[in-house]
Amino acid sequence: MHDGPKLKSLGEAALSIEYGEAIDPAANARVMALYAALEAARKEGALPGVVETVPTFRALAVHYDPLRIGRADLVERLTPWLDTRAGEAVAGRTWVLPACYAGDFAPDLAEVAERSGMSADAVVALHAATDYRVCILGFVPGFAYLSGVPQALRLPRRTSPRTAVPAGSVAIAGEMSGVYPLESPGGWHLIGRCPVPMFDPAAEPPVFLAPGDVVRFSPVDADAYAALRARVEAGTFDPADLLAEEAR
Amino acid sequence: MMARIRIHRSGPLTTVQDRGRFGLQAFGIPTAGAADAFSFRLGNRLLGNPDGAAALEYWIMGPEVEALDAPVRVVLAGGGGSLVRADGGREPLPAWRTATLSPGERLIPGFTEGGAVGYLCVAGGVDVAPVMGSRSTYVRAALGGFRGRALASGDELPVAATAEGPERALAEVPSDGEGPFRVVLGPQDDYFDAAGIDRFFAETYAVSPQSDRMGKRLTGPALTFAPGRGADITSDGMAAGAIQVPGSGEPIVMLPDRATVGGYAKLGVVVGADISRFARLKPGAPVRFARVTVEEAEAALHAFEERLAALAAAAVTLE
Repeated sequence: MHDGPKLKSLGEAALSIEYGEAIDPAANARVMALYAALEAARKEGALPGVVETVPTFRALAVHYDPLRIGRADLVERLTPWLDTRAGEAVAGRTWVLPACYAGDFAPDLAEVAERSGMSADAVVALHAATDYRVCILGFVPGFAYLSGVPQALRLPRRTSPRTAVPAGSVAIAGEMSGVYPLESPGGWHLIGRCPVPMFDPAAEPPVFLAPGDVVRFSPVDADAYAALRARVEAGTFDPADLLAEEAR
Repeated sequence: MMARIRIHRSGPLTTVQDRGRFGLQAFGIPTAGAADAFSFRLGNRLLGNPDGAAALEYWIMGPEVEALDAPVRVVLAGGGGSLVRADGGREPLPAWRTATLSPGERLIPGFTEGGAVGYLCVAGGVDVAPVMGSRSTYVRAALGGFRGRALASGDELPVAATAEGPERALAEVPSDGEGPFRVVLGPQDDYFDAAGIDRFFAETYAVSPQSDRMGKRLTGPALTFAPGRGADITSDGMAAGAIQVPGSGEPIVMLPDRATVGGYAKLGVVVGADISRFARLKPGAPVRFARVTVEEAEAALHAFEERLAALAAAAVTLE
C-alpha cells in the first residue's frame, strides 16, 4: 500500500480521504486511526468548519461547511493528520449479541450449511465462535458491517435479494456479517435473529455499536429470545448488559 | 404562547423538516433535512425565524392546516394557496407572503409552483421534540419529526407562535438561478471513460418519476465505464448531490434521505448552490450539467448565500 492517502472531492462540501480502493485490513486500520484522531480534534474545536467525519472500509469522508473553511485551507489543516497510523486509534469495546439460530429466524441456515459442506450446528458454532470487528456503520441507521466471517462460511450474496428482510436478522455475505436494524431489502443469507435493537431512536446513544468495536454472537434458544424481546418491549433492557465481561 | 396546527388534509409526502441531522452519519443515520433549502430558508427568513426553524415540507400537494389555541403566522414557500377566515370568507394567499391565522382559521395550499416541492413555514417553527439534535423526519427509520412519519389528517403539531408585527412579502417570486446544474467531478470520475464524461455534460437528461427524498433518477444517455472498471466500488461516504451511477449507466442524484454510504461509482457532485433547484425538479423536467472546479463551486455557494440574504432583505412590509 502506498503511504499517503489520496484526497478526492466529494463535492465542495466534503472531501474523501482514500487509502486504496479495496477492502483491506491495513487500509481500514488507517481509516479508523484517522477517524479517531480527527473526531477528537473536531470535538476540541481544532477543526473549525468540519461538521462530521464518516469512516468506511478504505476511505474517510470529511464533511465541512465551505462557507466557514475553503478547500485549500481545509487540506492544509488536515495535512498533519494524514500520517496518523493504526495503533493510535482508541481500542473499541467488545459486545456479545444474543442470536437465535433456529426455525423461522434462520431461513437460509440449511442452504448455507449445504453450500459450506457442514451441518447447521457446525455453521452456528463457527459463526458464534468468531470475533467480528465493526468496520463501518451505514446505509441504514445502526447497520454494522462486521468483518471476519470465517473462510468456510464465505458465500456470495443471494442472486435474488429479498424485498423485506425482518429487523433483527443476523446475516452473512462474503467476509461480512451483520444484523439488520430495520426491515429493509437485502441480499445477505439469514442465519439467525437478534432480539435486541441495533437502532433505538429513543435511546442515548441511538446506536450502541461504534466503528472499531468487536462483536461476537452468543446462541440463545427461542425461550431466551422471547424473554429478551419482552425486556426490550418493556423498556427494561440496557445495551450495556451486552458488553463482554472483560470490557465492563 | 404555544399554539398548535391541526392537519385536515395532506398529500402523502408531507413531513416536518429542518436543516437536517448532522454528526451521526458514522452510525448510519442519514442527515434528512429540507430538500429545497433555498425555499425553506427564505420562507423562514420572511417570518423572522432562524434558518433552521422546522417547517412542513410537501411534494406537489400541500397540507391543509387549521390554527388552534393562538394566532399562527404562516408563509407558503413554493406555491400559493388560500385562507379560510373565521367568518367563512376565502381569500387568496400568494406564495412568499405571510399571513396570520386566528384560531379556527385555515390555510389551504394549492399545488406547488415552479417545482415539485413546497414549504409551509410557521413563525417560531414547528415545535416537535428534536431527536438527536434535529426535528427532521426520516421516515424509513421512523425517526424525528412528528412520530417519525408523514403527516396525516387529524395530526396536531405544536408551534412556537410569535405572530407579532406587520405581515411581510417578497416583491417578486424569488429565483436561485437557472441553466445547467454545476458539478464538481469525483471521487470516482476515473471509473468513467473520457468520452462518456463528455457526453454526460453535452446531453440532456430527464428526471424520472422514480424519484423521492432519497434521490432523483435520471433517464438519458447511459454513462460508460473506463476499461476494466465497473459501477461497483468498495462502499464509501455520500454527500447531497452525489451523482451515483449503477450498472445501468443511468445516474441517480442523491438527496437528503440518501443512505450514508454507497457502493456505486460517483461521477461527481451537484454543487451546493444548485442542489435546491435540482431537488425541486418535477418528473420529466430536462436536466443539463456543467463541470466546475471546487473553487468555482465555493464562489457559487457564497453568491447563493448573498442572493438569499438580498432577497430576504428586499422583503416589503405590508399595510
